[in-house]
Amino acid sequence: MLHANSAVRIFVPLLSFIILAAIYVARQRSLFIRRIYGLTAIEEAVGRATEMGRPMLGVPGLGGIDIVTLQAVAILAYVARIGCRYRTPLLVPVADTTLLPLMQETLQDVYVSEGKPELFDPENVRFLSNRQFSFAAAVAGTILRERTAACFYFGLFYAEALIFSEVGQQIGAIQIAGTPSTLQIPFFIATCDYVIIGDEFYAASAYLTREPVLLGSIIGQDLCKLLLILGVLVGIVVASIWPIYLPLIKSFLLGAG
Amino acid sequence: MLRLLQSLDRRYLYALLLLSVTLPFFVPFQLPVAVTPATKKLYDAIERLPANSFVLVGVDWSAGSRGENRPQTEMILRHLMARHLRFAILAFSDPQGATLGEELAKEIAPQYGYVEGVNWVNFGYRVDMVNWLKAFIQNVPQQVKTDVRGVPVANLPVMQGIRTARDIAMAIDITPTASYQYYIQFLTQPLHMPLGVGLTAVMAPEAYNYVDSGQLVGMMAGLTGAAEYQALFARQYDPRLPLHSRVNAYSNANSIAHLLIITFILLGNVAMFLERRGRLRATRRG
Amino acid sequence: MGLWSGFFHPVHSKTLLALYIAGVLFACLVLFLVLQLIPVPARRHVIRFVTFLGGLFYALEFFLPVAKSGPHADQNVLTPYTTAFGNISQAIVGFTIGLGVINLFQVHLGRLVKRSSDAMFSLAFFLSFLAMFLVSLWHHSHPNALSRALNHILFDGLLQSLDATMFSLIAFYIASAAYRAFRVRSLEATILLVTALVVMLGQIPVGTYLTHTFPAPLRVENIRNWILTQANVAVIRAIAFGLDIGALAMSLRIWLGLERGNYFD
Repeated sequence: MLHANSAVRIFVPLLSFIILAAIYVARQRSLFIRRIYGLTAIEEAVGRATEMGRPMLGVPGLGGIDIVTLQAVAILAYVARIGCRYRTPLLVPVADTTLLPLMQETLQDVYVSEGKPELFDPENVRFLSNRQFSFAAAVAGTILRERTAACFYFGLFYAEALIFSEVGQQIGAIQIAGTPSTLQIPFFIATCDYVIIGDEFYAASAYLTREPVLLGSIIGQDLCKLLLILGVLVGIVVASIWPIYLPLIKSFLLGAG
Repeated sequence: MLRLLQSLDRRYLYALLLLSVTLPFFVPFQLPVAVTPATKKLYDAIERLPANSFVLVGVDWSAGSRGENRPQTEMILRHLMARHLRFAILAFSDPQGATLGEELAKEIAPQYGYVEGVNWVNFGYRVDMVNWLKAFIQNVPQQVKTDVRGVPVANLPVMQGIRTARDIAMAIDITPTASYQYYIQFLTQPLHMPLGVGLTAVMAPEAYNYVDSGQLVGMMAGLTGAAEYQALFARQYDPRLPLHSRVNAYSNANSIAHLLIITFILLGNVAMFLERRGRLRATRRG
Repeated sequence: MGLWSGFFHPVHSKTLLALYIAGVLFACLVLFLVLQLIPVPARRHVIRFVTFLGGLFYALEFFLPVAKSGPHADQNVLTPYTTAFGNISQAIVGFTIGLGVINLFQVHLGRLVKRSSDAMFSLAFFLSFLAMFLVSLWHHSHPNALSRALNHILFDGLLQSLDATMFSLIAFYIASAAYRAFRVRSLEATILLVTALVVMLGQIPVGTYLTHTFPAPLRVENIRNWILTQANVAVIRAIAFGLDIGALAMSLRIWLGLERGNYFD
């Protein structure tokens, strides 16, 4: 869709209003969010790397600066913060050159805020290649040479995901993955110890920081999903009992902008 | 023995897999193919096109996914040529796509009397898919300008009657990525242009959504999809094709590899189950 | 596009082009100095403001009604500017490629100088980088038979083949991953195993042969088809709903400056 049609002009502002309203409510009172096992395991993974005296690896995916990669950067910053407290380095290979300065600056801020700026090594954030399989080969090589004890895969992944996650599995690293790329989730499930599925990925920053704004956003998202479920149920009823209205609904939802 | 079966050194598995994949290339045989509805829909969509229609073929794959996407592209091009339909090759995702698509087209074209510029054309590799397609929709010759040979497309016989994207009867995207979603967004939705895809098996599960909603008219899923398409094509146009086609060998290798993996999964589980039962018995006796 | 099109059209005069480039560089320098003068706490607000403006442009361009017919069909007042902004962001991305190359050189040169254990790999990097760079430059600037042959060997022969090799590793890795992961350890693992076996068997002729005497609904290829077109579609759609709403929420937070976290604080 190049431009919004009537349905989009109604639903997107409505969903946005719900999310923003939930954010407003979250600022007034505390909200509950359920446990996400993949994220609670981050500390366990960092602890294991510290015990073994080996570095950690964090891959922010193959995307450029977009919302998925920014979320991945936020999660890896959290990992770096935990690692900083135990003096365990985090290696971050990047596949996009625009992400390189962003990642370096983010990690530097983390180390400075933890009071350990001397631990930050800019060479721990490396640009490897923007070609998919060259990047995969380089990450696999990094895992094997550095003998990383914990690997974190957050962001946009494609076919190369299995290559480095299997290599990590072979050297016995504890692996945690999270991606909105639904097609790569089965590969991560087969090779990683913990996997964050679907919009748990977007809930990660809320879960880790417990910021009221982010928690409110998660609640807002759940309310939007309830609204969509209601829409699906209404659609089922209409399609079953009043199919004569289906073309009308279809033209409203899929009409031209 | 049970423990060994549960945790077999992966190198043995890799060696057997390598053997199983290479064997069909030396020992050719033919296996029956069951055609799935998604592949049949794609085949029928091309069959329904009026004669001399113009089809846009997106060749968005590179050497990495050649095993799956090349046979798919080959079957689509064969079908288009057998039906005397005009087509243009276009690549967005990788520069290799335009070159590999052209090589394939040039290999097959003489069998159907197709001439570049007259029956088919290669628009080449283009960057910035979103903005390029937006301009392409409005004026095809102006946006394309020249083909890969540097010849202005407006003068080519194959481009006769093609002014805007509305003059294109169908688009087909062969890709290992989600590039087909841009085709849906810019061609299918606004222009109601039928879109078919050939995807790697990994990408196929997501695309079934679009086939179900009608946004894709059909789909070839992986190498199996190419084999199914070949079966349909051979039945109607060229019964001798499977005898000399590489798709057979690839498909047989695929089948044997699947069997090997299934066997090892079952062996591993049976061994685990038997060991567990043995331990339970020993515990009860003890 | 009026005044805007005066700036964003190809310039053929070399003098004018040189003046444009000098002018842009000067403007960038001035902008950089101005940004440096802004106090550090205030820079966050500048970033948020610019982010808001950028998001507002694209949001308005998407939501504003478009002309139904005529020379500007499917366009609204902001649509002509999207291509220009897209080109600007492409140009910025092009500059950052230089950053990546500098980073690679820094890391690998350091290893060569220190003569670390992996110095050979760093040497291989420099040799391959230079070979590819020089041959491509030669082939595109002064093509001849030798440059074409070298380009073919490096690009089509080496790079394509290496790409295909890495991709083919996936086949071996999925075999070992499936062998290790598909075990009957729990109810969910059993469901995963059975589903995987049914889908795999349904794809191969041996599987279809095993059940070809069964009634149609019980044949493995039909069960596989049902799993992929019914169960799988429902699940992928459900996950997609969640992901898309999550993306909307995160986009809203970034656009309105509500996002919290290391990078955004």
